[in-house]
Order: sequence, then structure tokens, then C-alpha cells
Amino acid sequence: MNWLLYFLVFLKASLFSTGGFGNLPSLHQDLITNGWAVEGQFAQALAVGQISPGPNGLWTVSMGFLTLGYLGALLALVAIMIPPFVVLALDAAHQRLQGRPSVKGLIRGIGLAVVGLTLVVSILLTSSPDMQDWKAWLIAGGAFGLSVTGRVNVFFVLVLAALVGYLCYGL
Amino acid sequence: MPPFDARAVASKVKTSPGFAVKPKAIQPKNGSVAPDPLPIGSVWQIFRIWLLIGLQSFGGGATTSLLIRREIVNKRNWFDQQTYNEMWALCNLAPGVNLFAFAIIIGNRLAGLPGAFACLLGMTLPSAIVTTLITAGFTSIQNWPPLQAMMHGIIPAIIGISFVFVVQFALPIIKQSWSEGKGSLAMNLVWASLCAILLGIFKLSAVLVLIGSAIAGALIFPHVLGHFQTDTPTERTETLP
Repeated sequence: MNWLLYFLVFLKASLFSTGGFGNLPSLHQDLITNGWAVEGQFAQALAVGQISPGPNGLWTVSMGFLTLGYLGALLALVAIMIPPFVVLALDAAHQRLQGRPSVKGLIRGIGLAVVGLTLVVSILLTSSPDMQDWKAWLIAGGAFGLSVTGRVNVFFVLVLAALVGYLCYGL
Repeated sequence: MPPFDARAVASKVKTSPGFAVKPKAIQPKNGSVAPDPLPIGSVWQIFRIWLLIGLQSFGGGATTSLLIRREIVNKRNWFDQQTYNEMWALCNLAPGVNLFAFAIIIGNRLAGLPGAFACLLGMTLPSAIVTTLITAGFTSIQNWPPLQAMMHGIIPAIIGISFVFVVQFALPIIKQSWSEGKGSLAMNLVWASLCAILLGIFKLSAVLVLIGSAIAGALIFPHVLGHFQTDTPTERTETLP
């Protein structure tokens, strides 16, 4: 595996997206195409990103570890720490460009693309082998319902899901 | 009320790194109840504050931003509520993890570029190490049957939660375009669906779709919706009392 290319894939994904999971569609495409990751690893990394402390964007570090060990985790971490520095340029430009219609249009365009892309990835994730039966779909629906309100801690939802998983598949 | 100029504060601190500075610019003009801001300490002190934020932030981004708000607005009064919201809005436009951008912008305003690195590394390093260790621990015991059973529950839950991200991204835009009229709402929904189709069915590159949508947005939206009612979140927050 070419480390530089691997790093650039992570950097690109983060540079051209926004939000902790914004890099998911791009990473999903590139890592799968290159044969560096399999579908199940994405769900695993996303799970760890939810469980561990800090921004959920750290799921990328988990993805790095799953695909290339400690080196992968380090490369992924560096790759996701660079792009946010663009905010300093935004901060400087903010006063001058604020309120221009084209800037607002640009931002809206990015926002809409992020919605569409995230939707596609979510749909792709449902083809994971873990969505094996109606019980899995029930768990997914329940987790969605509990989390979408924003009142229930995500960590709690995952603990609950682990318990339900154990009761459904472990006994 | 004139916008608070944090850069004046930042430049002051830059000239005297490592010394406590009491920034006058942060004090509210209208003599409200807000107490005097605590002095901005050294870069090392900033690093330690953010280290604690990083270590405490279990449960994802919402927890982290709550901790940051408590620390820099409520407790130390380094920024007022309005400036906090304005900085947060800018971070939503920055590429990558919003909270990283938030740490960078706050650090930079407090103590220049060294401050930006102090905040970013302080918040990120402990969490990144814990994340890696959890992943490592997970991969070493992933064949243990009870854990596999639990993962059969957790992974569907994560997939369900990933649809929550879609809702979270979509909701602000839906609200905004709703306020612009039904035509705008329909156009925005079609636009997002088109992006989804280009990626999901035509297998276009995700980055290409993002950049294309950004450029198309800059070209098309100003003409179609010349009358955006409420502006960017930045401007909206400025109208708050």
C-alpha cells in the first residue's frame, strides 16, 4: 500500500467535506475501490467514533487503525487536522464577503450536496451483512427513533443496542 | 451594537505571549450583568483547558461544544454569546470536523497560531489516543461470541443513527427554504435528491458532486432566490437581543 496515496485519500475526503461524517462518502468510495477496506469496517469505525470521547469525526482515526494499524490511525489523524485550518481564512474573509448572495448560494449548494451524499451512504450501509433479519431492522429503526429527538444520549442508545443484540443473538 | 473585535484581543496577546492580559474589548458596552473576563493565560494554560475538555467529552460533538461554551463563555467570559455563535457559524463552512475548526478559531483569537495549535491538540490528542485504543481492543476481542452478538445489535443501531445525521444536515436547510416559500423548498429537495442520484446511481465522485453543487449553488441561487429572507446563521444570530 502506498502510504502517501493513503494519506492523500484521507486528506482529500476531509478537505472537500464538512462535518465529522462529511468525509464518509468520499472515504467510502476510495477505500472500497482501492480494496483497502470492506463494508463492515465502516460500521465498526462509526461505532467506535460514537463510543469514544471527543468529536465524532474521530471515527476517521478508527477507520485508519482498522485499515493500516497504528500508522493508519496517525495518518488519518493528521489528515483530518489539517483542513479545518481553512477556518482562519474564512474568519478573515468573513467581514468582507458576508452577505453576498453568491456566497450564500455556494454555502447552500454545499449543504444540499452533503444531505444527498449522506443519504446515499446511509442507504449503502443498510446492505451490511449485519442487517440480517427483521430484528436488526427493528434495532436500526429504534435507534433512529431514539436519537432523532436529540434528547437521548447516543452512548445510551448504543449500550441499549448492545444489550438487545446480546439478547437476540447471543443466547 | 458594534461587533466585538476579537482580533484586537488576539493581537494584544500576540505581542506579549505568556503573560496574562485582561482584554478590555470583551467587556459588554451596555454595562450588563456579564462579569469581567478572566485573564487569558499562557498558551500552556490554554492547552491544559482544552485537554480537560477533550478528556471529558464522552458522547460526541454535542457534549464537546457544551463543554467549550461553559468554559470560554460562562466560566471565563472570554467571548460573549453572540461572538460564540458567530464563530460557530463560520466553523460550519470550514472543511473537515467543525469542532476542530472551532478549536482553531478560538485559539487563534486568544493567542494567535500557537493558541490555535494548543486548543486543537489539547482537545484532539487524548480523544484520538482513546479512540485508537478502543479500536485496537475491539479488533483483538472481536471473535469473542458475546461481543459478536452485541455488535449484531450495535451495528444496526449505528446504521439507524446514520440516518439521523441526514436529518441533522437537512433540517436547518429545510427550515430555511420553508421560510423562503414552497417553491424554494421543492427546489432544495430536488437539488439534494439530484446530488444523491449522481453519487448513488451514476457513481460520480463524492468530491465532484460537492464542488459541482457548490459552484452551481453560487451561480443559481442568487438569481432564483434573490430575496433570501433570513441570511446566514451568522447574521441571524446578530439580530438576537
